Amino acid sequence: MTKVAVIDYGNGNLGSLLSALKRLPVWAQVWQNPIDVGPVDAIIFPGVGALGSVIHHLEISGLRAILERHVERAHPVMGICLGMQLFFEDGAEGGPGLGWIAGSIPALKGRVLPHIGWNTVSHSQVGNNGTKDPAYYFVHSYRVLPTNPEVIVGVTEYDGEVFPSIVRAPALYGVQFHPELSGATGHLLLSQWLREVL
Amino acid sequence: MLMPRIIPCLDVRHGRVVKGIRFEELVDSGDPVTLAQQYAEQGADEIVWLDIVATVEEEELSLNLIAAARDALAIPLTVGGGVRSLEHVEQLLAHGADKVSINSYPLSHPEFIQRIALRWGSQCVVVAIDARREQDHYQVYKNGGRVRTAWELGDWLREAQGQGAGEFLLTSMDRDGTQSGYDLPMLAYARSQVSRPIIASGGAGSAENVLEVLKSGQSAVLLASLLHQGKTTVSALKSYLADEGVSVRWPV
Repeated sequence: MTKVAVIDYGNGNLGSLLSALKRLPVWAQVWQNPIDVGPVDAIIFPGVGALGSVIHHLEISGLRAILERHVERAHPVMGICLGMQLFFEDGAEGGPGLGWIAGSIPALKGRVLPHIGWNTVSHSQVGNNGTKDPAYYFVHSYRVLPTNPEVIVGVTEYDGEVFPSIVRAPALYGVQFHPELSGATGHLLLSQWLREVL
Repeated sequence: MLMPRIIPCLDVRHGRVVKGIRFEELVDSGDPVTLAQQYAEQGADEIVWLDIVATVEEEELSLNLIAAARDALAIPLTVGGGVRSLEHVEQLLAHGADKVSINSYPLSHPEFIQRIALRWGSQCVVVAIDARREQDHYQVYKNGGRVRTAWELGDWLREAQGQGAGEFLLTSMDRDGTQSGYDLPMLAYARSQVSRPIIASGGAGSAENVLEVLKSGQSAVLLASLLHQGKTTVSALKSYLADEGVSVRWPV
């Protein structure tokens, strides 16, 4: 069976992601420390919490170096929400990201923040059934601003601002929304990504 | 385009869903996990689960039910009820809650909001508020509406936002359980005080009430008795809203 690693920053709030993976034909392995690391087919990098504290945990635990080796070898990595934001270079708050994709992480401009709820993704290649724009569940106050617009696969609009909601930089796949909280549409996106990368 | 959230609320006591009128006269409305799953299948956008646990045995039952609900649901799950320690927050999150709703305790310990936000992020903290009109203003109550606090609604909203609240769940005690429509003036007032999302709660008696509150500019509604009493279903409500020109996540 396909093995997927889920990165854990030690906060123990991976419940919905692990439940979503139970509904897929995968074996999920949680990596909190280098001792947890084993051979996997893909890595999921969830993002809950603050950018600075997540980077700090990755450094202290030694997981950052391990992740970087996987990225150098172009192993498939999916970043979810803050996980996707961490692919980029400069955070508006909390210091730098991991710098794997050129670009910054500015704050959203919306009048009511965080941007919380179900919103549509346009021009999406993965997860789109071809009939209408799929909706996913978002919770975030920051967005990504890639230097190279070609990494943008899907975009979303909130309070007049259009931001990338899906990015792809060969082996790195990032989603601003939470597929694990996005019902059947989210399940479809996760299963299509797994099928594509394996 | 951001779509309004339709959020069924489960008030859980001793492992069963209950619903009262103006916080009293509790009536049994079924198994929470089954109900949560039904609502999700019908198109609920999130689930709120409020459970006040009195004993250690109840706590275990409650956490097991939350874990079962998590496995059955692929939509966000907010859990609350009597939360007053970081350990409790940690347990709820470990059993699959995505967000934690806090209500009474932070009114006397506002820094509790910040402690949760610093550890798990603001998006994790839903500050629930029960308020009612008093002469020329809205007053905040606690302990299920039984105890009046010194907080005026706007003051408390701004304090909680400053401490790191990610979202508010605002219940009108004047309307709760009456099915006479949401408290639009109170919601508009709250909207003018803070820039966090607000979930409107208390008073939904019909699909028309839901349409009315969404048209007034609110973007998330909590529903309880309307659904538990079988007056409508989430799917019937969403199909009505779609017919009325509201962009909802429907069909799901």
